[in-house]
Amino acid sequence: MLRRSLPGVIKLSLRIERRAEPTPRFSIIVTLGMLFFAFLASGLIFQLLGFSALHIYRSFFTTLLSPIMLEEVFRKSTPIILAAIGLCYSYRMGFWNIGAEGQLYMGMIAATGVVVLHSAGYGPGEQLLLPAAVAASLLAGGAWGLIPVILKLRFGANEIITTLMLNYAAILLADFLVHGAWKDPAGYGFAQTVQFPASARISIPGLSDSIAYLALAAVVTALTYLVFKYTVFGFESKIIGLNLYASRYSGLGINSIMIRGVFISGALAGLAGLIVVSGLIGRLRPGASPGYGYHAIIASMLGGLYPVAVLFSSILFGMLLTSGDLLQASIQMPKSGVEIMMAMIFLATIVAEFVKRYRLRLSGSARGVGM
Amino acid sequence: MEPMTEGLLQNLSPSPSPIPKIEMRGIVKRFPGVLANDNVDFTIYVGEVHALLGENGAGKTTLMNILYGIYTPDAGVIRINGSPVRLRSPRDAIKLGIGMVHQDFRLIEAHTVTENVFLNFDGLGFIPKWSALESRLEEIAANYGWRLNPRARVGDLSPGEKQQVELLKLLVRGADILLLDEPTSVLTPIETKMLFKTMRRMAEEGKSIVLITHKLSEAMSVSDRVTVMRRGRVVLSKPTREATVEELSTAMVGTQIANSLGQEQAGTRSADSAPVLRVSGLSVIGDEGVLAVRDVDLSVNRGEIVGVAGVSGNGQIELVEAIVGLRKPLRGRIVLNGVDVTGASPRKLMELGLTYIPPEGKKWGIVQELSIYENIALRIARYEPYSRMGVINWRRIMEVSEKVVSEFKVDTASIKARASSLSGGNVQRLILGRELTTSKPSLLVAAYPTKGLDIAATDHVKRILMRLRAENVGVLMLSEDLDEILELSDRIVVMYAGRVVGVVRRSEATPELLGLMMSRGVGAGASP
Repeated sequence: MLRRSLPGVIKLSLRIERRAEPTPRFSIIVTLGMLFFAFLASGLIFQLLGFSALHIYRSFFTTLLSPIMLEEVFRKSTPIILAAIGLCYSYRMGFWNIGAEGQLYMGMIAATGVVVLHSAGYGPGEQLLLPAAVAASLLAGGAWGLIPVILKLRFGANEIITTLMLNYAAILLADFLVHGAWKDPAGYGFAQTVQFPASARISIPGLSDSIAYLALAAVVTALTYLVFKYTVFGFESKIIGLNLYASRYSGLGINSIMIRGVFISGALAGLAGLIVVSGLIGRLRPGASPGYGYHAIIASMLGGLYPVAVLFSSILFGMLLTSGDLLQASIQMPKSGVEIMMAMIFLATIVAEFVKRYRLRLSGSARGVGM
Repeated sequence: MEPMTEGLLQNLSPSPSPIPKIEMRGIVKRFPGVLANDNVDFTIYVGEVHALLGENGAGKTTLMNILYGIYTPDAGVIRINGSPVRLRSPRDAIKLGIGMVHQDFRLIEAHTVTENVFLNFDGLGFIPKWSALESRLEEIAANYGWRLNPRARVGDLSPGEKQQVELLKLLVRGADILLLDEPTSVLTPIETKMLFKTMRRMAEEGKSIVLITHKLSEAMSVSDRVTVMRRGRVVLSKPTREATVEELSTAMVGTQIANSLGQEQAGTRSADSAPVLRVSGLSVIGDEGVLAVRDVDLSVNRGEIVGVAGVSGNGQIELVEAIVGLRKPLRGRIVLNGVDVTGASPRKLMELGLTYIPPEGKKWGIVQELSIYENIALRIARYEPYSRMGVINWRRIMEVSEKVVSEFKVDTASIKARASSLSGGNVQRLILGRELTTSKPSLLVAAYPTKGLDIAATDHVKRILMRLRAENVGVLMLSEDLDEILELSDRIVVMYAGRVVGVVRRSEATPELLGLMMSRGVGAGASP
């Protein structure tokens, strides 16, 4: 009872109030503002670690200036875009899939499996090699996504846990294959598979590889935009995420929509895996993905699950990864430096979501009750 | 009705002119579209158990939340011990000795009783003297005859013991006005008896206790004074020993039979036209895992309104959820237009001509984050001509939306406005408009369609139900308002403890008869 305040004492208090639904413009401003803070804060950390923040900012933007760097940005962005667009399908239904990395690995494994079979003299011929690899990666990624969604619908298993655990399963499966049965016999003992033959590489005649990858990702983004805006499936999947009661009442086929949505989500992550093995590095090896599936989680959130915005936020991550390589070479900044920035962006995204929904209000009120 | 604790009651009743502890005068609280408290006067005296009785939505919890500082009233004064007070938060209320036990316990299961009781307690010091605190709790518990171990983990306690922990929290903070919100809803009969004993003992010590309840028998057996609320108003307040069960039940559910809506239609249709819905031997398990609906038979004919009356929590909502496909029945059959639809999905039922108006429209019926036209799409987007090959024709949906909004008088600036901007009445108009514009039902099931609506919106909904009856649609309606049931229904089904205790024709029904059946489960002789 010591804190009983005297009448007339003014006490300042911070109140959290709900805002009205934010307008799109307000949302964009808040997100960009928070992004700015994230850059500022990570700059401060770099400065404290003894690196020049200005130098780091500059190198981040120079990735956009030279054509060679830009190509690298596009190469690194594409798997993130595909996986992040895929995650939009999951997240809009309220299915918290953090398994894009595992689904991406399954896509890589399946595509590589097709090539390994081919080089062993089985499976599809030259003409069908790439289509078969694409189909395999889509199916494998999608199927890996089906496991957690079925566990959730059937047994109520929390998908955050199951998708995360399946990431490790997929990564370890890739390691197991690459160190064992799929090891390139002519690879001087390196743990990697055979090189993909030209017929299994993605390219569009007349376009540089990186532009071709980006074009593919842009097409997927545009299709997703249309699906979300104009199809019954896109509309109903959003309803499931917003209000499960109303979904049940309205007679939506909740299970079927969830299964389809998560399958697409996983399939697109699988396609991202195909881009990695069949495009970026041309074979499967341990650590083939530097965490594209995790970057995609942040990118899809940062883009507010709007496909076009997610495309750009994924490119931002491509820029970060590229400048990270650059800084590692030029000023020996460790790779984890870039991860600091990503983490700050993630925090900023979370804070932005809060700021969009609530406002803080400082209010003074006279304490002391009665009389 | 035998009072459980007659002896105590008689000792206390001839007390000399009681001293008011709390006076609430002219309390008004308005929520968007609802007048939750309409000029309420409420007085609590020193040393009494005061039952605040009323149906769900009658405004009793709002009134108590005002007294506990959770809501600020729009008008009215509160006096404690004669001086006016302003209650801005529960903190203010606690300082003035007011304590509330909510329906759901707010305890930390992993902590001990003592740790829970003294959480956020002023003056414990940096290192609390646990043994001293424990013996203090033991003393209080012994005073009320509780066998509560202060060192026990709260997670291991029974509901009755958890409630004692909640009471201890209030007692150690010096509360002498205790507000108990539906305290017996989680208790066994023995625990209830124990609680009532505690309440009487507290009253003897000069504390004032408010028992918020919708159970008549509780009010009769434990209280000194009873106040009945209905639709935001106090309709009766008197010493309990001067009140009768019949009088209280009538006050709770309402007496005056409004006659504005073409009464002559009700009850005039013959009941032997083709049944659109036939339910037989239906048993349904409720959320608590126990039978909520027991062996119910029921039928609804074309062009007939069947009202289901009952005090809430007697299985009505589970019955309706089973009929509309939201809950799987345990046993029994449901036949819609001659087709066995037991266990069918909501979508299948919808396609067979059943339309459902859910309770809590804002939660079940709409998606607040979406615009009005998207909320209309919710129900129709998957059907032609609103979509073709899975692609939505938004223009068509907007056309229908304009029609719904104008025909059902949904008050909004645009169909692109968010549904969250609509008042309760407008949400209900939107839901009804959507359902009736986009489908041609043969059976309408409406769960509490006017609950929480203002008079104009209630009237609108009633007119729609009557129009449907005129159009030869069968209507099954749940309502907590007996006036409404009497006004609209051709037949009235009364539920008590999960069973149908009687089916009464409109012409034979009186509020007194229904009130009695609802509160005691006494069946009437009438046959279905």
